[in-house]
Amino acid sequence: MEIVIELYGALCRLTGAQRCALELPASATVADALEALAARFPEIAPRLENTACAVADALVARSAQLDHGTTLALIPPVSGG
Amino acid sequence: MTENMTRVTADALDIENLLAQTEDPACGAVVVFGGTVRLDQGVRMIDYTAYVPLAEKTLAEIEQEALRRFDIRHCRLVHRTGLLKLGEWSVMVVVRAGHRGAAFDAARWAIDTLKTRVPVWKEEHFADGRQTFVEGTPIAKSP
Repeated sequence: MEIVIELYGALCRLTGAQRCALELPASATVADALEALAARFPEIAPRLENTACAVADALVARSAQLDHGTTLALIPPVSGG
Repeated sequence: MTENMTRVTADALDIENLLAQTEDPACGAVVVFGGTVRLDQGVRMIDYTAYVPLAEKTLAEIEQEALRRFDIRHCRLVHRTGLLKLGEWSVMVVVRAGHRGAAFDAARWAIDTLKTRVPVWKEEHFADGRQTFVEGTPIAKSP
């Protein structure tokens, strides 16, 4: 299946990508997606530990299963205000 | 009334609008907090970006949580996005309450909480052309 990753903050700047598609096995989890992303962009791998993930307006756990076509937003440490 | 309001916007923040939305004769106190872009070690502009779906929801949740935690009648939070120049407002908090103590406490809590929970990022633009994302606070990875 294919999902779309959206990158925010420093993750977007470091990879040079706002969005990218990932091909994953059926029934892959958020953790699997992050592992695949780290393989494609090793420069952000150390930052993924502190990164939260969301689908639409909800945070999702690392163990959550992904569906084909899902857009997964990666949320590095926040600095609003 | 507050459920369908926009809380993240690329437009200039409008304090008059927030004050009008929260007008209430039962309130004897109104506290406004604003965050503005500060001249700091060569910073000339700050580019604010947000993950809007979750930022909107989290700002609404913080408003509701403030209403539960403090003896206040209104709490509104708005955050701006885009490239802001020195002195421009990036965030506004408006709290109205019967009395000033709760209003001050709630406004302080709301901005402190916003800074640790809302998916917004600031990238500082320096006079020498450098750009750096401010190191932020990790939000909870799991719901």
